[in-house]
Amino acid sequence: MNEGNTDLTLVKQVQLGNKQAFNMLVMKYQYKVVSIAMKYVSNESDAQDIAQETFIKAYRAIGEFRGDSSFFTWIYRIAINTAVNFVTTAQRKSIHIDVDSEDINSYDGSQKLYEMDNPENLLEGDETKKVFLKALNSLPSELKQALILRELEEMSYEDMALTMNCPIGTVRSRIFRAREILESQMSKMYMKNQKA
Amino acid sequence: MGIRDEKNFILSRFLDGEEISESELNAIMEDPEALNQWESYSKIRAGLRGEIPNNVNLDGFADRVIAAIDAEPFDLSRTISRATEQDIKQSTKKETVINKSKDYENLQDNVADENKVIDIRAERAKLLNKTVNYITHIALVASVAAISVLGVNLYNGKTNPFVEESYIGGGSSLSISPVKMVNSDKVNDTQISFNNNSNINSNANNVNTNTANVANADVGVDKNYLRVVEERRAKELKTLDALLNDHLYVQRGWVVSNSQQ
Repeated sequence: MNEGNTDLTLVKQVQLGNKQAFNMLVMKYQYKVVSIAMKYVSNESDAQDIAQETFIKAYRAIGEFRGDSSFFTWIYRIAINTAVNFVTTAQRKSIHIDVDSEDINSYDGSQKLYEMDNPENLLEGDETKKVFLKALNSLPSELKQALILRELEEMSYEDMALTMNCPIGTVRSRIFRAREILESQMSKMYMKNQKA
Repeated sequence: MGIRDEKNFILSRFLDGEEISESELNAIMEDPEALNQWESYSKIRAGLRGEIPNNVNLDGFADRVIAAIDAEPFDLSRTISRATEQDIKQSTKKETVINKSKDYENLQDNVADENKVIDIRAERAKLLNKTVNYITHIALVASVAAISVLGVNLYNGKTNPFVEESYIGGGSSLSISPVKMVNSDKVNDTQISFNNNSNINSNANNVNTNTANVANADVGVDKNYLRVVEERRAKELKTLDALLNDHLYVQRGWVVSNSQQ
């Protein structure tokens, strides 16, 4: 059991022309790729632009992916290159921008920095983490343990069965039930926040 | 467990790296609700692993990526390498054959047999090369041996310089019949020296095993030829042929005809 097997299966489907398989890969790695982009740029919009361009490049080059490295390692390199190119291009543009001193306060960049420092945004980010932690703590102990071992310790089903002293089938069902409960709780909390 | 739950269960296993069938995967990819569930499970994983950055909302992000890809159509086949293409063709071909054939075991055997044939042919080619090399080697050795034996026979048996038909160079030849060797056990390091007035000692007892003095030989032996013989013998002493030819040289050098006595 290896998470990389899932990626290889999806990549092969993409190479056969199945775009939905690539959609699944995007959904799986979108947060990781955006996190990489956020290390190079300061705002979410640019980070998403970098991430989007990364996935587009990856799709066009998917035929060259041979499986020598993991899919994420491969796309990680594309993301880094894309982010660096984006920053380099942005720096070149900023050199040619002739900003009048009187217009500094109305400069788009400063506005965005202001938005980033908005306490409300910071709370929203923290809220997301709180939601996950709260949902995880609310799980029954055996389900919580199963999900922690799988998602945080990245244990295989076989190792989990030995650790938890239960059959592999039980491990599978506990992880599945834990995810179902978490997903339900997160949906409720999201809807609650939306109404508020 | 309902159908929806069953599909979600398959998604959960697939996310963790467990293999699922092609039909199960196709069913997931064709179901929008299953794809949404896949995204939820992926988000839960990212959240628990701390991969979700602050102040980031990626709702609809994957749809935007797919829309951008669709907006600029791109032919994936251009980027697929030859090896990948062959892999895909082989896997597609195998899958097609599997779908058509009901007897999966025979199909596997056929594929295995085909691979065996390829291996056998390769082995045969290697064996043939080895055999050819071996035969060539044997032929070379045999030819060298044949030349050596032939050369010895020609030089010793048939071209005796002391017989009429083997006369070389100037001077009269003398037919000398082979005589019994005297003190043959002392013939080890024989030095053949020929003088202009070489005398053949008719008395076999007076034959010096170390020095061959042919007195009053009138043998008419060409000195140049004898020098050639001497040089050749010196060379052959260094070879295995010396063991075969040495006593013959000595015999020639010490031959005294009874008729001369």
